[in-house]
Amino acid sequence: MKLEKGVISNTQLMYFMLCFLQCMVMTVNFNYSITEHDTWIAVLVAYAITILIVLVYTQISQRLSGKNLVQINDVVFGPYLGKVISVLYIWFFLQLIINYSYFFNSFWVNFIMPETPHSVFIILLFLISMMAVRSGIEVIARCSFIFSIIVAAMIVGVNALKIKDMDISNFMPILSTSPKDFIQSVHVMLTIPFCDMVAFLMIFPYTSDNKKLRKPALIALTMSTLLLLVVVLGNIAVAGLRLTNSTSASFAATREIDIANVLTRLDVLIAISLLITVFMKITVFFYAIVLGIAQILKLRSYQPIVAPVGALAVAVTLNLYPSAMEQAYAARFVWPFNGTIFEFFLPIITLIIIAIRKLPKKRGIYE
Amino acid sequence: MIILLISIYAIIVFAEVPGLIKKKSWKELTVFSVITAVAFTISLLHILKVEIPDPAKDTQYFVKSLFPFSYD
Repeated sequence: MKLEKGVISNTQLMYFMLCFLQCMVMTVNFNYSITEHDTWIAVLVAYAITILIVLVYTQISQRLSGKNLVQINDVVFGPYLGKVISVLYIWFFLQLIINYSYFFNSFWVNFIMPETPHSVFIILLFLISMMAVRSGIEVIARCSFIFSIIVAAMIVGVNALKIKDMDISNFMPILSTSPKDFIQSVHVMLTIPFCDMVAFLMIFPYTSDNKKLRKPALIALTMSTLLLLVVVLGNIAVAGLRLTNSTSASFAATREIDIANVLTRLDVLIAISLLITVFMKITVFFYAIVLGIAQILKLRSYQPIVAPVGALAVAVTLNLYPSAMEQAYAARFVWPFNGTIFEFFLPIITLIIIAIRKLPKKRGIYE
Repeated sequence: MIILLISIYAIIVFAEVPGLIKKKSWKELTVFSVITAVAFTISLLHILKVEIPDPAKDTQYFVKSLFPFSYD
C-alpha cells in the first residue's frame, strides 16, 4: 500500500529544496566563531564538495527510482540490516528536528521576547508543522514556492540597505586562519546547513519525473549558496571582527541599518526569515520521520502518529541544552561527527553496494 | 501546569483515538499509544523538575567518541 499519494512536479521540488536550504543563512552563525572573516572561502569550498554529495544522493534515488530511503535500505542492505539502518536514520532526523527547534527557540527567547516561557514558541511551531505534515507533501511543496521567494527578497533587500555601512578592509587579511580551523569550518558547514539534504531521499520518489532529479537539486543548491554568500559577505563587511560577539551575526548587523531615521529596526525581517526557513526544515524532517516510522512498521497511514511524534519532539527539546552557548559548542565540536556518518558514509556505502550488486535487478524473485 | 499538560495530551488522544478504533486499525493505535506514553512521561518529568538524561544529546557525544580525532 502506498502511504503518500501526492505527487509534486520537478519545478516544485526545486523551490522546495531552495526553501529548505535557505535556512543556511541562519545556521552559518556557528561558523563565524571558527573562521571569522574567512567564512566566505569556507562557503565556496563547502559548496564545491556538496555538489559531489548531491550527485551521490540523486544517483541513489535515480537508480532505485520510486523508492524512498526506507525501501532503498531494505533493497540494498537486506530486510534486517536495512531496517536497523532505517531506524538509525529516523533517530538522526529526530535529533535534527530537536536541534533545529532548540536553535529557533533560543533565538526568539534571547533576542525578541525574553520574558516568554521557552515552551511557547516550540509548541506553536510544532502545531503549524503538524498541520502541514498531516496535509501531505503537495501542500508543503506548494507553500514552499511563496516562502522561498519571500525569504530571498528579504535577504537581498536587507543586504542592499547595508551597503552604506560596509567596509572592504574588514576582509583583510585574507586566509589568516590556521588550516585546522579552516577544515573544521568546512566540516561544520557541510554537515549542518548543506548536507542535511539527505532527508530529501524520502521525498525524491514522490516527484513526477524520478529520473531527472539532478537539475532541480543543483539549481536549488546553487541559488541558496548565492544567497548565503550575499549574507556572509554583507555581514563580514559590516561587522568585521565584531562578528563573533553575537550568536546571530545577521541580526546584529541588520540592527545597524538606519536610513534617515525612517528605516530602522529591520532586524525583525531576519527573525521572520528564520521563522519561515526553520519551519520548512522542521516540516521536512518531521515528514521524513513519520513516513519512515509508518513504512517500517507497515502502518496503513502516517496521519495518526503525527501528533505523538510532535509531542515527543517538544518534550525532548525542552530539556536538551541548558543554554544556547552549549548548543553553539555542540554544533562546532560534536555534531559534525554525528552528521558525517549519516550524510556521507552511509549514502556513499549505499551507492557502492548498488554499483557492486548491479541493482535494480530485473523484476522477478528480487521484487 | 500538570493539569495543562494532561489536558493537552487529552486533546491529542481524543482527536485521534476514536477514529482509529472506528477503523479497527489496532497496529496504528499501538504505535500511537507507545509514542504518546513516552512523550507524556518525558514532559511530566520535565515539569516535576526531575533530572533525566537527554538521549538526543548523549547520542551526539557517543558518536563523537567513536572518531579517532576531534577538533578540541
